[in-house]
Amino acid sequence: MDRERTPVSATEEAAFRLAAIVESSDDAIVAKNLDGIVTNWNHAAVKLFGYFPEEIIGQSILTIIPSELHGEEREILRKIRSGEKIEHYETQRVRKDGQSIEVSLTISPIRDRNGNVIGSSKIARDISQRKKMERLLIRTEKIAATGRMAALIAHEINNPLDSVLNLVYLARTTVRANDPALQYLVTAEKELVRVSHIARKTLGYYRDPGTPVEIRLEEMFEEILTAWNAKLVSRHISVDCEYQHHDPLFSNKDDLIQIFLNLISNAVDAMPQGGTIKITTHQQGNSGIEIVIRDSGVGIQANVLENVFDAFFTTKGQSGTGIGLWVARHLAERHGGSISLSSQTETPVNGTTVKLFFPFQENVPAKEDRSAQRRMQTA
Amino acid sequence: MLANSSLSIWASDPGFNGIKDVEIDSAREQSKESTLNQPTVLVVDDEELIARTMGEILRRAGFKTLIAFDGSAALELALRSNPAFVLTDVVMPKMNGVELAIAIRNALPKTEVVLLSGQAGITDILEDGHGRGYSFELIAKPVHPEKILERIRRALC
Repeated sequence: MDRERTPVSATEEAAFRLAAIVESSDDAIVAKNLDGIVTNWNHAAVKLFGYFPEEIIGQSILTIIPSELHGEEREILRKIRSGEKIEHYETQRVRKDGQSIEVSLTISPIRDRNGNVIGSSKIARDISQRKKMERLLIRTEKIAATGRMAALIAHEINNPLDSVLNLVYLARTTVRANDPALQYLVTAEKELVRVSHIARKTLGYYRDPGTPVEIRLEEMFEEILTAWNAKLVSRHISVDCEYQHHDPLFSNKDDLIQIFLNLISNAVDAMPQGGTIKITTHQQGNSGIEIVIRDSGVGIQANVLENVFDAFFTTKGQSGTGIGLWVARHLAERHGGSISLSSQTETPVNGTTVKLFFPFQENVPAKEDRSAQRRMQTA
Repeated sequence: MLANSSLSIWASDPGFNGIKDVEIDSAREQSKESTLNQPTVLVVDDEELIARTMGEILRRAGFKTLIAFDGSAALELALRSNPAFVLTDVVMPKMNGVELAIAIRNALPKTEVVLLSGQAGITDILEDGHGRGYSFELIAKPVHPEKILERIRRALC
């Protein structure tokens, strides 16, 4: 009896030990048959995917695979059936609570005594954090590269523009008053002034020293909206403004106009089928003024919201330059202000809300980089 | 006229007289009878086209104009001619605009210096000057020439 029992008990012990190893693994270990039905589910799988064994065993593995990746599972099963192993395959899975996670998978065929493939074991490791870090690094690199590129472009564009401005000015002041070329030169000069203005705003980290002027937000918005009127009417966009009387705000008018122009331009582009832009201004005690611009447009997908202030990031495809919000934030911060954005894509609450805050002059913190931009006297 | 050789800034437009008599030198003087009693303005830029066109604009506006294409040539020229106003680029070979401005301010305290730059990332150069107790007005390129004229007239006229 002992002789017969010993080998059985050794096998049992080995199986028990193996099960204990699987159960205590930090990596999720899951087994499934060739139809993709879950047959085993360890403790780490519970932690990773949120399902208890009794909830998932007997269910399809597709339960944890995002619907757009179901095709991927068919390919995995095909490889497993032919005896192939899949190592360190990075993909996405979905937790019971709906949260998407990034995992690295190693999938091996399980064979019976005769060597026939009867299923597969899947070891899944959560790499969400690593992926997040990788994306942050890429983003940091991208921002740094963008900065380098902007500096390079600034030099390569601003200098020739300066020359051309001088040349056109010389030409315009050289031709006789009755010369038909005069009108062309006048127009060319105006256009150059416009381009120069944009180049200075976007391609320089400093600007002309300007004395802050008193800003009347109501008047400023009316001015901007008048300029947009034709487009607003043709796009069936109505504008609803609610201005609160505010204490004097001193800032750079051109910069503020640029910010609001960029934001209203985004709002208009977000509403190809028409809609409403709501602009409200609200004084926040003695600290400053909050300005909210809300559109009823298509909204911005949650997964790209964090990128909208990056340079050269656009949700407008070919028609966007990707610098509108970047410039808006840059200019707002230059004046001690802040800008934030929230968005909804689900109807009927769809739309994007941009909140700006500008402190009153006495509350603007002194900034090192601003000191260089201002006209300075010898210390 | 000091010019011993001349070059039009537009090789393809030799008929333009305004800047035809420009000496190809790292530093040179454009002077005309009519500007002898006018204050002297020194324009410094390693982008020769900018220096030449700005020089011409100022000359037409009635200023006696000097141009230089690098900082050290500009300093030499400034010490020789004591300009009333210096308009200088910031990033230049040999001596940058801030170093030039500091040297001019020390040697010629009555001379007004304004910096002009089209480059981002010059904060370090400006901060360096600031750290040494100097600060200068900075105008961003591209700038309409009338703004420059207005600025110079404000200082000199």
